[in-house]
Amino acid sequence: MTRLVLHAGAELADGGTAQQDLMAWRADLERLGVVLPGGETPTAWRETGLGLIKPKGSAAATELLARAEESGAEIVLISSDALSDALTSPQEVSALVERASAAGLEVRVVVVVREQIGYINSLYCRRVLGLETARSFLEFATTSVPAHRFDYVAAFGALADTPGVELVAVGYPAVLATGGGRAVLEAAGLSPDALAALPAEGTAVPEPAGPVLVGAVRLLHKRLRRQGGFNEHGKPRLRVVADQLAAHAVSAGWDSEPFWGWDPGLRRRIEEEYKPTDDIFAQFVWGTDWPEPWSAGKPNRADLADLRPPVLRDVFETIQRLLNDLEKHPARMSYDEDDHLADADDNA
Amino acid sequence: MQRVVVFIGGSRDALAAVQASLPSAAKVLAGSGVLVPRAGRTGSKAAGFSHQSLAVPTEPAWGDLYAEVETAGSQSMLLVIPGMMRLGRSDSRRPQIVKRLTSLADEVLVVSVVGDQLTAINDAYLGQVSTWRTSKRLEALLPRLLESDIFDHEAMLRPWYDDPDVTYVGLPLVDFDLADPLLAVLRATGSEVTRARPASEVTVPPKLGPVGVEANRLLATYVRAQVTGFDPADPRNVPLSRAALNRADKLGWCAEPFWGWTRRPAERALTRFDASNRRFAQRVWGTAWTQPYPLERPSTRVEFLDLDVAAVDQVQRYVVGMTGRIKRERKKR
Repeated sequence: MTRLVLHAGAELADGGTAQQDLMAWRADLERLGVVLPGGETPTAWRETGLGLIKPKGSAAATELLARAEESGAEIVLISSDALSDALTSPQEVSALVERASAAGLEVRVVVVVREQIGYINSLYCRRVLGLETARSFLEFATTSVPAHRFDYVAAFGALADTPGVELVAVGYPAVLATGGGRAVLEAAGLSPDALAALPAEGTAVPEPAGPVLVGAVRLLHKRLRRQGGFNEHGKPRLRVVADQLAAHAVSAGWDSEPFWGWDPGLRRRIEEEYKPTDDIFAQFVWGTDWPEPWSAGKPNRADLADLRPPVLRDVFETIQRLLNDLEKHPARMSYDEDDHLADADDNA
Repeated sequence: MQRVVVFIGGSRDALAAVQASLPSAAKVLAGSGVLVPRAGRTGSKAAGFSHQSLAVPTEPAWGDLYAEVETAGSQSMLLVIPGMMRLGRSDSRRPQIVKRLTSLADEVLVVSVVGDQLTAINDAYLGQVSTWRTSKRLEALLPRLLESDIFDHEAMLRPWYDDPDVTYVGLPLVDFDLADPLLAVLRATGSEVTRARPASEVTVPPKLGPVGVEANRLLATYVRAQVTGFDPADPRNVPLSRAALNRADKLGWCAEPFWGWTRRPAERALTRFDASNRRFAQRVWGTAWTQPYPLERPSTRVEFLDLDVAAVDQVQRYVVGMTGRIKRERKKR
């Protein structure tokens, strides 16, 4: 029986590496009996995934199921972090099971989970750099949007409770050890021989951005909002501006250490908040208490006024130059590829 | 002359109020027989003045003062010399000043306002930020501030209250009337003056609020990148920092008071001062230390990047605009 596997979160817990690996290995995977959705962008995959979950479906989802049937593939695999939000609803999980069983597929959902201290820190950096939030780390860590974001029982409880769905959790250490793509494929049920036949190299989990860059992008975000940039330009164009700022930060050597937003008091609070549900979740999926130790680090946030004067000047001037470029030559600020930004949770 | 009262400060607010009220109150006091001499004045009619140049015993202004005292024939005199606070610890200059003062009057009273150190340090920090001497946060400066004796009343004032030739008067900050500051000083010395309030409202300089502090911290860093060799201690920067403060005031950044302390550092700071405060109170007032410590006062600090988009924009314009102005002024010099 063909297995429909959804890699559905937790959002960017694998740093986006699973999806990148899968896209890079498409041809190899097809030979090994793994069918991936059409399209080469995260947005296309998300829409196909949502088509399987939402009652009205989608042409892409129907096409994928038909292709799975024709090919007699062992595994049909969709990877999209954004699916986790949809799968918090018992109704939508049931709809997925019904659609899959009508097509003769069994359903497995793979989730990558990481202790919340390192996870929230990394996710915050990703969100800031993607111009999805300009909030402070404190606000981001303590006001999760949606509320289930960092609570794995709340996020994946509906999957655990719905008959006909198998929930398989991959711990973050496995992602670090084998790479995101391999870890997800192993959890999807790909045989060890097939895994060994895949290219050796995978996508490395990215380090969080440095604190000066995080501060600079927050400033860019606020300047763009003030100038109406979010109304005037699409997200992909603005993302180019943020990427150019990030590239400049690297070449100018703004940062030497990654951002670490936690101070001891806040960290303790968050550990106490999530420890009980982490243990419940781990007992359910692995039969043990939560095994991964909390990440550690020294607070490393940038206060722009405390920067070395030439760095502050560079931050101000680079942002101004990018804003001027955006105004004068907007067409230069674009990617060929599709928008792959997740929906911002606090841009409204 | 019977007595000379020298106000040496002790609180930035009290000192600012005294200085600001001097120009208009000098006449009123003269009517009550209190001379506020012209000799040694520094400052301006608009911004207020002090007799700061008299903090140097060899200053020619002392000669002018002797002449003025002789001509005036008043029974008492009020001098405002903030520099004498630090001078107390100078074993060479203090006796010279005391000698000068005792040669003018039978009785020399040295008056300072005495308050809690949290307020004093918060105010001193605001002074540093608004003149771009620092871009650091208050807590980053604390180790250095707490190490110094400048906020230790016992260390700073003991030379004055141990000096047999002067009478020291410590005026509790909580009792100090900022609306009528000169009367507060003179009453504390037992003067029988009944009126010192100037006819018009005294305008003291504004103080930066939380957003203003962030803006000036950024400005302090940015100006150092844009203006080579920028020296915040250069007295020619005083009009610029005043202009910046006025601009900040117009932008509404001086409306809400800045309070940089959070509970734990405040408690730690007070362990540094509590014992010497108690000794000071016992020695000067003959009582326990009763000045309240504002430990419960909530911090009003903000962070630049947490401000709303309009305020971020305003702050950045202020920083870039003021830096341009400083650059232009430097070119003119």
